[in-house]
Amino acid sequence: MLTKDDIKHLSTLARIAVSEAEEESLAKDLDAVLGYVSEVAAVATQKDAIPPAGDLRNIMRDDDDVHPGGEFTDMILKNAPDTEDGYFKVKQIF
Amino acid sequence: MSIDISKLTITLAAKALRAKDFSSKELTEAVLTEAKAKNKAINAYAEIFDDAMALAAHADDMLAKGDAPILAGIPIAIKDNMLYKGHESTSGSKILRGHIAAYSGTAVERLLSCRAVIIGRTNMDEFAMGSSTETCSYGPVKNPIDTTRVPGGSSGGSAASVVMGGALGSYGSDTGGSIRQPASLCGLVGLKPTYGAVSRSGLMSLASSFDQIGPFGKTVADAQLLFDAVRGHDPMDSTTVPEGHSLRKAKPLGEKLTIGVPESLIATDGIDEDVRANFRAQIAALRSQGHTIKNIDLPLIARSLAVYYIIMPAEASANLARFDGIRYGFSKEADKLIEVYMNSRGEGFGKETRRRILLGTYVLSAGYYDAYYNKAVAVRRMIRDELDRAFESVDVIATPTSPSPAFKIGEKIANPLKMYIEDIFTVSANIAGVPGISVPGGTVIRDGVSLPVGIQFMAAAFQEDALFRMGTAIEQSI
Repeated sequence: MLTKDDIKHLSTLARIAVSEAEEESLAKDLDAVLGYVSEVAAVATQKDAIPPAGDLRNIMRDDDDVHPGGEFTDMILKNAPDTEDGYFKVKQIF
Repeated sequence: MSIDISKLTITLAAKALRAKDFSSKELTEAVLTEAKAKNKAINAYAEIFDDAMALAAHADDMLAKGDAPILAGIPIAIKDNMLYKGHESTSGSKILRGHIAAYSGTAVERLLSCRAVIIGRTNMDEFAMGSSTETCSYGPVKNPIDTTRVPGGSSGGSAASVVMGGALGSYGSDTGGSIRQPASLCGLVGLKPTYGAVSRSGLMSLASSFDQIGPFGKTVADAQLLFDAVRGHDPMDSTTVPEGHSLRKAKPLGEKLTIGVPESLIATDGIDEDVRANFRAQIAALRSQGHTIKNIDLPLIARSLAVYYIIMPAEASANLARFDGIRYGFSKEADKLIEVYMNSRGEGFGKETRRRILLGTYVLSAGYYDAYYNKAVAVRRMIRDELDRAFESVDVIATPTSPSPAFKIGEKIANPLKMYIEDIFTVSANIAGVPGISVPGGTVIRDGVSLPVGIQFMAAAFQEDALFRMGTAIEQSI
């Protein structure tokens, strides 16, 4: 059973603020889903299975066809909430 | 002139454009009028673009010169998670409200280069997480056949846009059933191509190892045209496969096909009786057309849904980490950086998105990683092998597309597990990376309304042709 403290911990890891009121319902929802998906434990599997995402092969290319620096900067920064001199503006980290 | 959109297929419209029965500008105008009139009640579109008429004019120029691609001048809709340069795209999320695409995705580029007319972006479950299009930040989409019911999801807006006459065809994305299930609930043909058949470049990621772009059409022929326009290798997506170079070889198709039916999965509890009866009738019709029906035993396929609801949230939690209130869209001011992250994401994401990110975080966290994520990856490999083996003895696998016809708005939204069960038949194709199609396969009556139900076919990797043949066979039997 997930507790409210578990939800607090997950919300910090995931960087998602969760209100006090929502902690309980989230714990309940997650418990139900985890209960269901736990049935995978019943399947006997080999260790080190290869992840089956598509055809796996090496993709190589020459490092050419480089676009001029700054070509897309304005377009990309237009979507940011806060910018300065061609940079994203971020709060002090420490 | 008046053009009846309701019965107009892409195939017919392409002929009419070449016969000069009408121009793309006239066709686009008619579709735009219909889209705007119906959208108030249906909410299929998040935005109808104001530059569609300019695209139609370009298409008319190309058509006048002759030798235009088949989609030239055809009004189509794209899902709100497909980037289209200079246009807003939000994935149905508040966190991306106002986000303008800095480039077009490969599928969109290919549509533009064949002069298709992109009418607008369609509503979807937030970040494609859902089976009802009720979690969209622009409000729920209504099923045009019965507006008290959902159109399915997550590409519900793309399906509804075609059914209401607001586009001749459309594109969605399918991570666990998000094209096929709405196609089933809305009476359309919907294709989830083989993983690697269509470029994901410029498609906002939900779960990268499952996501594929695919079409909705009124007919199998239309779906095939829409698929052919966007398929193929793309240097911008390393999972796309150059023609004929797949490592997964499929056997050639004979004149008549062998159809595998996983009886034990179809007998599962929770499948609507009428849906099952409809499915049996379709299978009987295929048998009378000379195809061989074979009961196949797929013991692991029933685990697909559990595997999916571990790997999908895990990948989603990683993919959605980019929405941090710094680089795009919605940002919540706070004193400390970590509070900016937490509050922007807490308020910017809707409930289902928050739930899945937390779930993904849980299955990837220390102490649970092996029991959930690694275990699911191993079972996924076994399911893929099981299906690949099955396709050595059958050409296609048939199931119903969804366990029930279109359900009422609000009926399942409060219970996530109940909603997740909607994917029970569709999700295996994503797990194994094989193609799947949903084709209208009869109707059931609910509250006096005739609701469509789909039949689904899956085939070996890169065997979309087998799906189109089966789809055409169903069209002929109805």
